[in-house]
Amino acid sequence: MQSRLERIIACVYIPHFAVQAEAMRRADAGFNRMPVVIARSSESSTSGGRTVLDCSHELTDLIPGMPLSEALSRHPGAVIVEADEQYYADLFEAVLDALQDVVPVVENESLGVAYAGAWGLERLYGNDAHIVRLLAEAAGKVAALDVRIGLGPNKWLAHLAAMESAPHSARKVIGDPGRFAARFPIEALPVPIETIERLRSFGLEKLGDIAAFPEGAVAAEFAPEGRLIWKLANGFDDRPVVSRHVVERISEYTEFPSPTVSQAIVLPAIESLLDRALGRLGASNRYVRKVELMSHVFQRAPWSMSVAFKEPIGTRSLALFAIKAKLDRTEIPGPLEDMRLTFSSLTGEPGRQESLWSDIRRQARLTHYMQQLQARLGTEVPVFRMKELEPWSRLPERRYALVRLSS
Amino acid sequence: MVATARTSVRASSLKFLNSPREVRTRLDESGLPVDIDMSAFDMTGRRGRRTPAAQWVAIRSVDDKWKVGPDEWWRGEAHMIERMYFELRLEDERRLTVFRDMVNGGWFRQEDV
Repeated sequence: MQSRLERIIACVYIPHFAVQAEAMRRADAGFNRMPVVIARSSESSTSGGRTVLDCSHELTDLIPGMPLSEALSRHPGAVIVEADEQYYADLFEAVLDALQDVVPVVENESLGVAYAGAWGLERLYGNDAHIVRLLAEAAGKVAALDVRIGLGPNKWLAHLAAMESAPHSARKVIGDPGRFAARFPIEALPVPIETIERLRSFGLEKLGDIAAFPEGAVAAEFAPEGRLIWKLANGFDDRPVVSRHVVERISEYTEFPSPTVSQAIVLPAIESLLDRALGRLGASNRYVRKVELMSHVFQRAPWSMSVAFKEPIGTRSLALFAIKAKLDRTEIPGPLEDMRLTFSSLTGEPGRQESLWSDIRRQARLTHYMQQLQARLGTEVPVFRMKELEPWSRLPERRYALVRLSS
Repeated sequence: MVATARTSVRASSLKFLNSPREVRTRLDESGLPVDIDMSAFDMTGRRGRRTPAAQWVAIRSVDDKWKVGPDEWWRGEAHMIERMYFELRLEDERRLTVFRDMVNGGWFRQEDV
């Protein structure tokens, strides 16, 4: 590898991340030797049913997003595992946190794929080989995962280099980008499965096949992704590395002795988790606007429930009241095996300092209520105020307008 | 310089109040309205769901009229503003303010004039 760092992007690629995550937490050593398909329920799939989230590496003809029925028809002996997407997301977040301890700019591309900005760090780390080693060690500290790293002048080439590298190794793109990308299959493209099938129907199997056509032809035929497809097939990618936004959360976890639907067991567990989480919150002098409960359900998909509080709270009684009220109206789908309680939308201020002026106090209260509504609804709040524009205008519609209040 | 504490106003975030709404009228020989189709409005005077059948209400009197414009003529004929306003009293004692757009000839309703 070259010792001097130009603008280099590293792609940290953990292939079949969901399968690796499942293998990590299963005591059955034979899990790694059997063909596994991770299935998820997809409302957006054209089949309206379950689709493939991930699969074992030997099932090379399966693509994420493929209907589960098609996957099973190709591999009837495969073991189906229900996807635990929260667990995979949490594990990958831990990997991203570890990577961000090494480099400041880390982007979460998708499950198992992250980009790290490796430029400008020569004085800190020396050459790119050292950075690769540090990234691999950081990911390895989280879990014993098969991590592959690719280096390239853009995100796409770095990703391809990572895909081509051997387990626990790295590869760097040197030379003509188009020639490097040409040999990769079209399944590597970040486009929906329907677009992949369309490309295949035209006899296009490799990226080099696509690069042989003019850009306009590919863009027109495969719109709206056509232009992107042509650029990636030629090794061009001007997408910047966008650093991830870290959302601070406080999470506590407990397991039930046996799967249960009894509120006599679930509620005390929630109370205990609440005490522990509030203890950590109180230490940082902050309040919480929203709490999420998540549980694995015996032989079913995981269950979750979120509660947004009317006021940011820091006390057990208020939080428990809101959680119990919502739990009473919620149907639990089956016996719960465990419970995770997560605080999110944490406030920064330990208290509220109010203004002496009533107008400003009123405005501050309004802003506060809007923040609460926004946390509850998860979208911009449709609250407006009337503003004078031209009250003297002879045209009535020019005199006043409604302006959206922003929090 | 300290930034203003007021919320910044952008054109895209404005919703103008009291925009004119098209209305159907019947006119006499002199061009004054004698009937107005109230089917676009419910009994409270707010805009309701438009029903298929027209609900013509007779106009008892024209209590006032005034003219606005011609104005903004420099923006071209398409944007010029010239209106003749009428304050009407309907046969069911309701008051209504309408105007005739002298540029395109359409009739519109407008409140709080």
